[in-house]
Amino acid sequence: MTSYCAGDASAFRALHTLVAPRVLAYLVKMTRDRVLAADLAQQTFMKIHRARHHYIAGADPLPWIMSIAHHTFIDEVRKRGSSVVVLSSTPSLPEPATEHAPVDRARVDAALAALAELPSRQRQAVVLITLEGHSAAEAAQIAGTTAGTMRVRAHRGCEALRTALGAT
Amino acid sequence: MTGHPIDVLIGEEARTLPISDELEAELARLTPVRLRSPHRHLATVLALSAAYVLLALAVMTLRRDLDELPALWVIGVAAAWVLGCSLALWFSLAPRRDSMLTRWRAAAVVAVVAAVGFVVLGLVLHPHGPSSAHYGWERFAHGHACLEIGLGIALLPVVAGTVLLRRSQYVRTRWIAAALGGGGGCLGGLFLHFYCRIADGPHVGLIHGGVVGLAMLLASVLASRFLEAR
Repeated sequence: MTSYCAGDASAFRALHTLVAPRVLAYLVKMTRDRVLAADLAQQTFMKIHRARHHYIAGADPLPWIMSIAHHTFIDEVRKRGSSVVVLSSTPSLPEPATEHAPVDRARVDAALAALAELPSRQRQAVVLITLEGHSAAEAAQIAGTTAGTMRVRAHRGCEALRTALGAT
Repeated sequence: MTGHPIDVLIGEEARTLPISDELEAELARLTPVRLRSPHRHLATVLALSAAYVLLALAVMTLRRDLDELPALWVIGVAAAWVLGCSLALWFSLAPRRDSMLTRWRAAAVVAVVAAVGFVVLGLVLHPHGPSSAHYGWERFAHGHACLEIGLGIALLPVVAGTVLLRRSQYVRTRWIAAALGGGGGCLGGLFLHFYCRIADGPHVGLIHGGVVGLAMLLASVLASRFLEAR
């Protein structure tokens, strides 16, 4: 990030290669719409580029980048005037990659649908902590709340998912 | 990516994102930028604030009962105002080491504690000398000029902090702005501590101490929109 801010475009490409999958995966899980998620991810990287002068030398940029991604998602939610977002009824997700172990597509589809039904804050906590593997403290920084609150939201979100999936 | 079944469903396609043409065009004319330095920002705001208070005291003169008051109280309360101001501004402007995100929670806690603490301190502890004035509850409203002067002094750290953090915050901008207001309010309180000779509890507590809470409120309403990134 420091090299990128010093004017090295190849450093940005390296950063992009490293971070874009996480940003995209987060946004896909939040929106359940890959096309929209890709669009929001592009907006996120444009915002990062335009705000690069806010970077602090030596700091971990990932929570900041994820905050920008979440902020971009929230802006989209506001633009569409819904608190539960978008979330297309027919998710535009591709087929699973073949080299992975076979998964129960119907069940994962149901999980994604149940995830989409969660309130935005719970969904964010589940995605960041349970699915993306961020620590509660890191997730709290991204969301602008406390680690305890994030843990509670993730727990409640997981409970709601279990209930929803148990019912299917 | 965690290898979670949902990631598997999303598939490999989700793991690659080409750089957009717009961003490629910006990268083609990439120029170095000066990085944010929180400690330089903090030093700038504190130096400006100190200079502003000293200049204001030089112009508006010290309270005439200052020599009659207990030195320990004068120094102790001044130190508390300085501490409140410095901590609120520090947490607002300087993120934790290795982080880029403002410590909004710590900043807010300091500002709230200062807002409540200085009101209580002023109500409980307000020594006076022969030259001190007493308005009491009867003429409480006549002391409003202190509120306006205190807010005038609070303006500088709030404006300076807002300019330095402008368009850089993604979360809790209201609390960050409120903490800047709290820091500014403490500076206003520090000025009033050396300027105003009205020494009754209601005035010192509710008006001098109240500057912090009011500055927090005004900053959270007026300054937060300038902090929020777009």
